[in-house]
Amino acid sequence: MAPADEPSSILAAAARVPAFELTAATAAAACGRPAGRGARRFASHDEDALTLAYAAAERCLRGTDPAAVRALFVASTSWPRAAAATAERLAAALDLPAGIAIATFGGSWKSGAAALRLALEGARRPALVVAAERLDAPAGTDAETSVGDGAAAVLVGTGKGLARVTDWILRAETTEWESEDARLLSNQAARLAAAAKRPGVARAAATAPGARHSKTIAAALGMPAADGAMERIGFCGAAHPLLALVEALESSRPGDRFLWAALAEGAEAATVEVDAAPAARTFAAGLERVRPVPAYGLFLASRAFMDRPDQRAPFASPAIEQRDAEFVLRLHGERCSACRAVATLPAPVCQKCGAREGRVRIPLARTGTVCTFTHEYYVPSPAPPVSMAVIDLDGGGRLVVQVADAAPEDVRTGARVRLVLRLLHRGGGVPHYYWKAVLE
Amino acid sequence: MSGRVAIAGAGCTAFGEHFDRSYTDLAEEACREALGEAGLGAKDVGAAWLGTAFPDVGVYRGRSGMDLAESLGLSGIPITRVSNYCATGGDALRNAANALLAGEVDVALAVGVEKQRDRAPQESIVRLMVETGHPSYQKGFTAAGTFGVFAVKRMEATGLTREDLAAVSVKNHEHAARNDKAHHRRPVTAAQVLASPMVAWPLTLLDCCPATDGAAAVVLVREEDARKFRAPVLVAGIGFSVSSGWDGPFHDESFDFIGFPAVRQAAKAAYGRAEISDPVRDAQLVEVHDCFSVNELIAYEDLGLCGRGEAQRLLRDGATKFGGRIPVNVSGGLLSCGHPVGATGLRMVYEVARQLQGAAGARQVPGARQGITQNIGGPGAVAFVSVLRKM
Repeated sequence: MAPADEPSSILAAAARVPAFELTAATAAAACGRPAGRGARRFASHDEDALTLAYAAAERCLRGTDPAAVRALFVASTSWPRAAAATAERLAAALDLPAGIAIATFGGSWKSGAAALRLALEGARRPALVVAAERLDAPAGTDAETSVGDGAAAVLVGTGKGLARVTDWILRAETTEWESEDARLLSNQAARLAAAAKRPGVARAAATAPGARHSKTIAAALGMPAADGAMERIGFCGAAHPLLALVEALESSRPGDRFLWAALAEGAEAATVEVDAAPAARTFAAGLERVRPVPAYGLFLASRAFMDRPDQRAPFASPAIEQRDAEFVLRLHGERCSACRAVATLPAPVCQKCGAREGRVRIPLARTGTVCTFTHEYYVPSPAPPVSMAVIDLDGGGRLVVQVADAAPEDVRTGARVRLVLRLLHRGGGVPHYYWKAVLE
Repeated sequence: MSGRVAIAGAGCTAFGEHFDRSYTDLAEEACREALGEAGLGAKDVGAAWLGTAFPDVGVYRGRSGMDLAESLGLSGIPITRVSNYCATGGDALRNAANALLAGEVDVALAVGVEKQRDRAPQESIVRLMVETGHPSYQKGFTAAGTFGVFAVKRMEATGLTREDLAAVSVKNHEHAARNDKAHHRRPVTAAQVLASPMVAWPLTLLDCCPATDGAAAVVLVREEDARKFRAPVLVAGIGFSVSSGWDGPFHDESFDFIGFPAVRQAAKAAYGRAEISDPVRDAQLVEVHDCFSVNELIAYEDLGLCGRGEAQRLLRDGATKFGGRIPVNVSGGLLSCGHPVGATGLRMVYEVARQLQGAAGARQVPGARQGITQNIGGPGAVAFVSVLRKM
C-alpha cells in the first residue's frame, strides 16, 4: 500500500445516466397522491446494475488499453443476485486481462466511496472502480421516485491524469453520519465543514442518502453545489458519490479544487485538485438526454419486464456459456491467416476457406455499420417492435444483434452503431448478457 | 451414378388445420394416393424416406422412420428420417432417387409430413428458435425477420416496394382460389396485405405463409421401369446444395442479402442434368418457395427467370401470373397452401406432376411439358431445385 496521504491520480472518469425519466408528479397522479417533487432516471428493461456498470466502465476506458488495468473493484447494493452475474463477467465484457484482482463491494451505500478510497490509497497500478445501481422502492411510495438508476466508473492510478486526491479529511470512523434527517444532516455537514477548511476549496461534491441532500450539505458548508444535477437523477445508492465526483470533474476547470464527500454509514471526504478536463462530459450528456415517460404504467411495465412469466422461456446453458465465453462476453473473434476472413462466432474451421490452422484470436471492434435490419413485432418487449440489425464491425466481422434504445424509424442501413452489453433474457432464471447495438 | 428416375405416383393431403387428424393419418393419406396412382401396395415399397423438419412441434412425431412404418403398416424395410429445414421434402426425394439408381431397391417412397397445428402457432417454430437456439446468438430473430432483412436490402438496392411484396401475396391467393387443397383460398387485396398486422418489417401477416398441417408423397421408380405406369413424370434433374452453416448469411461480410448462393448452386446442378439453359423458354410453370412474399421475388432471380434486380419487373409485367409467360406458384404457393415444412417440397413436386399429366383441373397450365420446383431452407443456406418433365 502506498502511504495514505500520497496523492493518487484519477486517470479517467465517466458516468452512465439513463435517459428514461419518471417524474414524481407522473407517479403521484397515477397513485392518487399529492404530487411530490423531483424526478428519477431509470434504465431500460434490458439493463441491470451489471450492464450499467459496463456502460460507465466502457466509457471510462475508451482510449485506454484495457490490458493496463490491473484491478477491478465493483460496488453495488443492487447487483443481480445470480451466479451468472459476477464482476468477473463484467471484467470479461470489458476485455480486462485475465488474472487481475477483482473484488465486489456491497451491503452498504458507502461501498462505492469505500471502493474508490481503497483504490486511491492502494493504487500503485491502475485500478478501475465501478459503482452501479438499479434501485427500486415499493410501488406507489414517494421513495419510488427519489431513488434512481445509474453508474459511474473511475480509473485510478499514478501519474498525470484528470485530478489528484490530495488529502483525506474524514475517514469512516463513526456511524453517526447515517441519517436521512435533513436537520441532523445539516449538523453533520457543519462538522464536515469544520474539518474541511482548506485553502482554495470553493465548491463541494457531497452526497448523502437522498438526492436532495447534496444541496443541503453544500449549503451547510457554505459552498455552491452543482445546479441540482444530483437531484434530477434520483439517489443512486453506492454509485451516487462517484456520480457526484464525475459531475464535479466535468464542471471544474484545471487548477480548481473541490471537496468530495460521501456521507453514508460513516463518511469519506477528500480534497480533489483538478488537472485536466475529462475527454467527454458523460454525466452532462446523460443528463441532457432525457426521455420522460408519459405514464406511470410504462415505468412499471419496464421494471417488471424481465421477470414476467412469459410464454417463451429462452434456452440457457451454462455449458455453452462457459465454452463460448470468449466469443460472447469478451467479443473476441478469429482472423484466418490464410484468407484474412474474420469470424465472429466459434467454428472449428474458417467458414470462408476451410482452413483449420493459423486462425488468430482477435478482439472485435465494438463499433460498426448497419448492413440491413428488420423490426420484429412478435418478439417480447415492453415496447415492440424489437429491431434486429446485421452489423458489419469496423475492422472486420459481421454480427446480427438487437438494436437497443432506438425508435424503429431511426434504424437505417449505413447507420453507425456501438455494441453495448445488455441483458438478453433470463431464461431458466439466469441473467443472460449479450451485445446489442445502440445508434451513435 | 447415371440414369434417371420417374414419378410413378404422387399424393398430397389437403393442406390446412387438421385438428381431427394425426400425423400418421396425414402420412397414410398422402402415401395411399401416391401408391394408388402407381397401382402398388405398401408391400411393394423397397425403401422409404420420411421428411419431417420439426418433430418437436408435432409432439415428437417424425423423429425417425418408425412413424412411417406405423402409418402404412410397413415392416422389414429401411426407412430413413430426413431433416433439412424447408428443403426436407426435396432431400427425401433426392435420397429415394439415389437408392433407385444405386440399385438398392426398385420402388422407393419419398414422404414429407409436418403437423404444425397440434400446438398453438406461438408454440411452433418461432418458439423453437427462442427456446433451443444458442443462448445468445440471433435472439430476437423470427423466421419472418430472417427474410425481412433481405426485403429491406432489396428495397434499397433494387427498387423493390411494399406494393410489390403485396402483389406477390395477391397473385398467389388468387391462384389458390383454384386449388382445393390450399389452406387459404380466399382472394386478398393489396390494401388488405398492406393493412394486415406488421410481423417483421416490411413483411405483414399476409406476406407470411400460415402454420399448416399436411403431407405429400411420391412413389419413384427407375426411368426404364416407368413406362409400366399409367402417367409417369420424369425427374429430369435434381440439384441440392448446402451453402453454409446456419450462421453463414449473417456472419459473412460478402453475403449481399439480395439472393441465395445455395439456390443458384442447386439450380445450376438441376438445369445441367436436365439440359435446360433458359428456364423461361424451357419450362411452362415454376413452383417457388414463397414462405414470405420477398422469397418469391428472390427466387425469380436465383432461378434465372430474370436478371439480378429485375424480379419486381417480371412480377409487375404479369409474367408470373396464371396465363403469363412463366406462371409461378399456380398452386397458390406457400403463402396460400401453407407450409407444413417437411411436406412442402413434395407438395410442389405433386403440383408440377399433376400439371404435366394435364390433371390440374381449373388451374391447368395449357401445354405444360416441363416444370421447376425450388425450396430454400434455414436462413437460405439449404436449397433444392428439381426439373420435372412430361414423359
